[in-house]
Parts: sequence; C-alpha cells; structure tokens
Amino acid sequence: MIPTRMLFAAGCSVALLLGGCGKSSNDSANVRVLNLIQGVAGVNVTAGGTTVLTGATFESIGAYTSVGVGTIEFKVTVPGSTGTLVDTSYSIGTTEYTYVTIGSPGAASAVLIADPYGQPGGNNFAVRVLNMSATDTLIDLYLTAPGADLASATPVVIEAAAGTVTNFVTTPAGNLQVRLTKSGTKDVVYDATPPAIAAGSGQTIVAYGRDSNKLLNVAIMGSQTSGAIANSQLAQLKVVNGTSVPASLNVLLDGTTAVSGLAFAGVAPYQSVTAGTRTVTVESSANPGATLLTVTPNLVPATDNSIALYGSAGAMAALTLADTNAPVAVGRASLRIVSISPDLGSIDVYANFGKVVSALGPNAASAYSLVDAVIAGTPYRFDVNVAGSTTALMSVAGVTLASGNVYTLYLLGSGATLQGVLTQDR
Amino acid sequence: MRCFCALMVCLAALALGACGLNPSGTGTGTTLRVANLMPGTTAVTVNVGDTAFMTAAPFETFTSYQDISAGSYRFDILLGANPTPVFTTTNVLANVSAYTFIPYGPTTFPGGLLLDDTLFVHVPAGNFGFRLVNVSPTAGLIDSYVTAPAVDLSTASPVVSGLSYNSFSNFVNVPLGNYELRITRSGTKEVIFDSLLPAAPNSGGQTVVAYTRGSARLVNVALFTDGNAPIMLPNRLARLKAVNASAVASPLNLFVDGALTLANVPYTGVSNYQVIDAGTRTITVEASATPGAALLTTSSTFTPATDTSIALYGSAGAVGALILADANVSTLTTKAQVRFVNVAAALGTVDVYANGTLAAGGVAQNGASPYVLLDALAGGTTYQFDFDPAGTTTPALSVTGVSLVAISVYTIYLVGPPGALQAIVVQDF
Repeated sequence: MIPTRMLFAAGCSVALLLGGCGKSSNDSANVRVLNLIQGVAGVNVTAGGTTVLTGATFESIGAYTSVGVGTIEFKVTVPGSTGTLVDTSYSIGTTEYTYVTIGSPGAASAVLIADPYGQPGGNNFAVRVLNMSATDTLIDLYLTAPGADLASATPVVIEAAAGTVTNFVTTPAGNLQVRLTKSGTKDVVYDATPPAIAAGSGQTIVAYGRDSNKLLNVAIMGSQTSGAIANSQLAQLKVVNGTSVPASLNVLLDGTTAVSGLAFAGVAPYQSVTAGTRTVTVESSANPGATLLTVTPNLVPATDNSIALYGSAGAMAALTLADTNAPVAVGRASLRIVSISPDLGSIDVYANFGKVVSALGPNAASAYSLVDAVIAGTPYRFDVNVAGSTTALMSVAGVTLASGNVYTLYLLGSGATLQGVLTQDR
Repeated sequence: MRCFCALMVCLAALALGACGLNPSGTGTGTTLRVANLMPGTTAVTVNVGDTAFMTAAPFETFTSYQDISAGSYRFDILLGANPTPVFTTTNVLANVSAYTFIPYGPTTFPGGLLLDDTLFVHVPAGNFGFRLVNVSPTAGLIDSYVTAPAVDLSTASPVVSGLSYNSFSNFVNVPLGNYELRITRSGTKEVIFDSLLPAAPNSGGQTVVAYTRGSARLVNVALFTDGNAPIMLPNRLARLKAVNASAVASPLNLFVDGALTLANVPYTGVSNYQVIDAGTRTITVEASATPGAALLTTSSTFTPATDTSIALYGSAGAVGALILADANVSTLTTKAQVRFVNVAAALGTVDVYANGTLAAGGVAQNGASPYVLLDALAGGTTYQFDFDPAGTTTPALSVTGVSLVAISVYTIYLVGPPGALQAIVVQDF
C-alpha cells in the first residue's frame, strides 16, 4: 500500500513538471477527423492514445474530441492488421485541429491542419481550401450567387496545391454556389450549392477524389461543427456502341441529346452531366424518336461512368459501369476488359500471352488489373480464349498501354466485325 | 548474494552471446559479421582495418560474429583477386555493440551497408522488434506486410512502408505470432516476396534484408534473428517468360504443371514475365492448333526470386527449349547489360559485333552468351549489331538502329531460318 503522502507528493511533482514546461495537466486540444481512406472499413484513429475516430469508412467524419497537447502521435489503424496505415507525430497546442486521412491501405497519408480562422467581421466568413486531390494539382475556388456565370467571376482562392491547405480568406457570407476549377481555367471539377454559410464562421473546403479522372467532391468542415460531405452535382458519362444496329445511335439524357451519331464501335468520350438517377434513352439516328432502349442509371456524384450498349435493334441492352479512374503507380497501367460481343461466352483474356482475366462472362466487365507499362508506351497483344481452354477466339494486336493510365478494352461486334476497342479512361 | 551475481553474469553472457554481442569480456564487447548479398559474385573479401572479416566468399555467404574493438574503421570490399577495393567506406563501431556489414548491389556499382544489430528500442514482452532493409537495386521503394498466413493483403497495413534502396527502417514492435511476410512495391499490393516468417524471440529483434538474386522485380530475404544464425528465406515466387523462335506453324501454348500459363505465343512473340511458384516445374508446350498434343515436355527448376527466360526453337517434331537464368540486375551506371541468344535454325556458331566491336564470340547454336556491358546513355545509345558466322567477317544478319538505355538489361535473340534471319531485342529490365 503506497502511503497517501507519497501519492500526494508524486502528484505535486507531476504538476510542477508540467508547469515547468508550460503545460498544465488540464491543457487539451480538440481534434476532428475526416477519413478519406478508400478500400477498407473499420478505420480507427488515435491521437496520443485517445480514440478520435473508430470504425470509419470512406468519408466518415468524427466530431471534435479532446486530446492532450505537446508532441502527439496520430495513428491510423485497421483492426487485425499488424501495421499502421499512418503513424505521425505532431506538435499541437491548445486549439482545434482537423485531421484528414487519404489514400488506401499501403498508400495512406494524412494532413493535420489547425482550425483557428480569426474574426471575419461584418457579414463575412473565412474560407480556405485543403486540396486532397490526386488528380488536380492546382485548383481555384469560386463562390458566387447561385447560377452566376463563371466566365466573369473571380476566384476567392487560387492555386490551392495538392496536399496543402491555403490561408483563410474573408468573403461575404450567404447563399452561395461553390465551384472548383482547374487552376487558371473555368473548367469546373466541382459544383454544388450547399446550405447558406453563416457570417462569422470559418469554413474549410476539403477537395478530394472519388476515382474520377477529373471531378472532385468536397467535404465542408465548418467551424464549431463536425463538417459534412457536400456532394457535387456533377458526374461523368461516356458511351460505347457495341450494338448491331446498322445506323449510328443517338443517346439522350433526360430527353436531351447527349450523344449523336455514335457509330458502331464508336466511343463518346466522358462528358460532365448532372449526377443522380438519370433517364438514358437510345435511338437509331435513322429513326429518331423511336426509343430502342431506356435505362435509369444512378450516376454517383463526382464519379466516372460508362455505358456499353450491345444487342440488336429489337433487343438492345446496356452495361452500366462504375469506372475507377484513380491514379496508377509509375510503371503500371490499369486495365479492365468488357465483353459485350454475342460471339463470346465465358472467356479468358491474355495480355502479351499471360492471363489477366479468367472466366469473364458475356455482357460483363472484369475487375481492373495492373500490367507493366512504360511512360512511352508498352506494346500489347490481347488473346481471348474460351474460358479454361486453349481454344482461341480472337486477338487484339497493336495496342499500346502507357504508364499511369487507365484503360478499358471493349470486346464487341460479331463475326467479321468482332474486334477490340480500347479506351483510355485516364 | 555472490551466487546470485554470478548467475546474473552468466545469464547476461548467454543473452549477449545469443544476440551477437561479445560475451567473453575481452576487448570492447563489440562484434561484427559480414553478409555477402552482391549478386553474381563468387569471391568477395571484406577487410575492416587490417583484418579480413570475409575472404573470397560467394554470393549469399554469412560469416559468424567476430570480435572487434570499438573504433573507427575503413571497410574495403574486394572482388576476386583484384587488390583494389571496389567499395570503401569508414564506419565507427561502438562499445558493446553487434554489427552486420552487407556488401550489396551490382558489381558495376557496389555498396556496403553497416547495420547496428543492437536493439535501441524497448521491445515489450510479447513483442519482437521488426526491421526492414532494402539492398535490392531493382525493387524500387518497398513495403513489408506481416500478417496472419493467407490474410487478404488488400486491406492490410504495412509494417514498414516506402523504404528506398540502400536504406533500413527502425525497429518496429510487432506482437509475437505466426506470420506470413510479404514485401510489395511501395504503395501497391504487388507482391515481390512471399514466405512464412520464422518465429522471432520474445523482446528480441528480427531484421529482414531484401536483396536481389537477379530478378527485375522479385526480391529474396536474408533473415537475421536474434539468437539464431542468419538464414536465407526463400521467396515462394519466381518468374518466367518465353520466346517463340520455333518453326512450328501455329502459335504455341505453354503450360506450367499442366496449367496454361502463356497462350498463343506466335513466332517471334515474346511474353511478359509471369509470376509462378518457385521450385521444379514441368513445362509443356503445345501448338495452339493441336491442343493436347505435347510438342515438348521438360522439367526445370525455378530458383526462388529469380527470372527465367525460355527460348523455344526447332520444328514441330523437334521443339527444344533453351532455359536461361536471367541476371536482371541494373548496372546503375551508364552501361546496358546485354546477352545474345542464338536460336536461329541453321546458322551454327556466331560472333556478335556491337558497332563494329566484338561483343560476344562463339555463341553456339541454341546457346547464349554471357552478359556483356555496353555503353548506354540515359536517353539511349544507338547500336548496330552484326551476327557473323564464327570466324568470318561477313554478317549473316545486321541489325541497325537498336537503342540501348543506361541501367537496362537486354536479351537479343537471333531467330529464323537462313534467308529469314531476324533479331528480337527484348528489354528484360
């Protein structure tokens, strides 16, 4: 049994020590977490041993939590995994912080930013941008009245660089349309009108990707709040014509022509469209007004989507694909195979004679595979066999894949028109 | 009390001995061992000061810890009988410490890394200290995963990440357990090493040294575990590629242990490397036009963490395979490493000239030359290769405009019948 006097003395000593280094045992910081790590669930974040987020999935946000001050170790872990996703120590003081994680297991990182934003006077608020995009290295922020033409607008924040946070700037509060563009352009990569922003507040616009080759999504981390995801109203859509309809096709989105005259084996490149559940109708350009197909895909905000059309005029169908156009490691290219030819049943696909896809069914897409590719481009030949056999069905030669890019190889057509169509999606 | 002290001294001696520290009480309690991880070497000597700590040792040799007094030393690495060191550095050795010195890298650009094996971190009971070392010049940045066996790597977190060539991590505490060790290219889940991890001692240290055996991608591991002799931890993986230089009319299918591994390889076609299980494998070749009829069956041993090329030659009734152990070790200099493979149908032995200078003499039919080093700039150096029947000066084939890039490794295959000779230039690294 330790005497009470000894405990008291020890307590006093600790207090003296802490006082000596300028911190009291009551000092604390407040930390909130935005988890943008994809591909894993159950992410836990601790700061100085205090759990600040637990069981998180992609886009989970944790409320401010009190943690110690001084040199504090931030650890991001997944239950059952020996290693840590992120393990970094920061020197933090008695204020509020936002901790943002990004990446994937094995390629995760994080940023810690202090949240004090000063005192914006009048009807103003303070805003800054944290660019966590792996796609857009420099972005500009526009805050305008809803519907305002961007052509004559001036950005509130310019050149927000990837991986860094800008300084706060003061700007009038109110009901605002938030748009991000590629820096120095009016090319919009994010567009939304969130709830009105209160005067006197501080707002951190965290821009991040959802695997689009262009678009970004945003989390708005408001002062004194936990923050919230503010979905973009944009998504991207591309269309591939693998049908046997003799004439080219027109594709309408909610009744408005989005693609016209799309020939067999043609690809309509990505275009920005309104996210959400949309009505896509397909017509033959030879017979406008007569619908061949109607589908209603849900285009998730800030994502890329592909629609592969196949079948005949009387039996047309669409394969709607969620595209993963995230950055690819140097020396590799990402590739998926889409089989929409009526000539193909279950198939194996070989790249430069080595198998990359097994037992891909008809009218289906493979998962993405990584293949070797140099920056200048690596020549590839693809061979398609009946699944599990040596029976060759077709070859696609003369294909070049370059490092860092994402591709889809569509196998389409029938008989003499059976072919491979390669699209570079990133 | 005296007995207790004696017991403690004995225990300490045992413990120190087990972890490589000098228990004898002589000198400064400092020890040093050497591990030769320089691929392709047959006789490496390491002198520390005036003392040889390794003498004429081949690749993958480990010495025992040897006593050495603390102090500053010059470390020299010598190759073969050449008295001039190919690498020299100076290191300071501290009192009561154990060290491992590792010669590594290509012979064209060797290095020497000193590891302090003394655990400077507290490793709690129930844990061991895990350290990763990267001395592979071909692997790039690497991550290491220590997981329960067969755990899906896609959601796992690395224990050490982003480790570059010629560097080592700190010791990281890992709970004791039954583990699988996988090393990946950094930031990816592309496995370049895979093996079960032998048990580590409670509160002890375990150092995983990733080095190359000649694969352009895979690594092997030298494992240093406190209290145990160093071991090679064989990679479960190896790689193979194939070149079709045969006269078989149809493309070829290549099976490994009965599984179709390379499909429809046409004449002069070259596959990418495919990852396979290391060990002795049965290779079967069929014409894709006549599935089920084996044109060739052969057995080959695929050494862990190595690359192998198979050049298929001959006619349908007499298909042969030249199985080549590839040395895909970057030169790390303004040189390209090139070998020549003669699988032309009826040319006999050839001499190969690079820009007019003999590069490889007497390359026999269905044989390969040793690797030779040719000057090559980062942006590429252009070569003309002449293939002369041995002893003549009249090329049977001249190939112009071949660009060789620095630090790369190439194989140039001479294929085809008389009148239709051609060279296939393959960049292996």
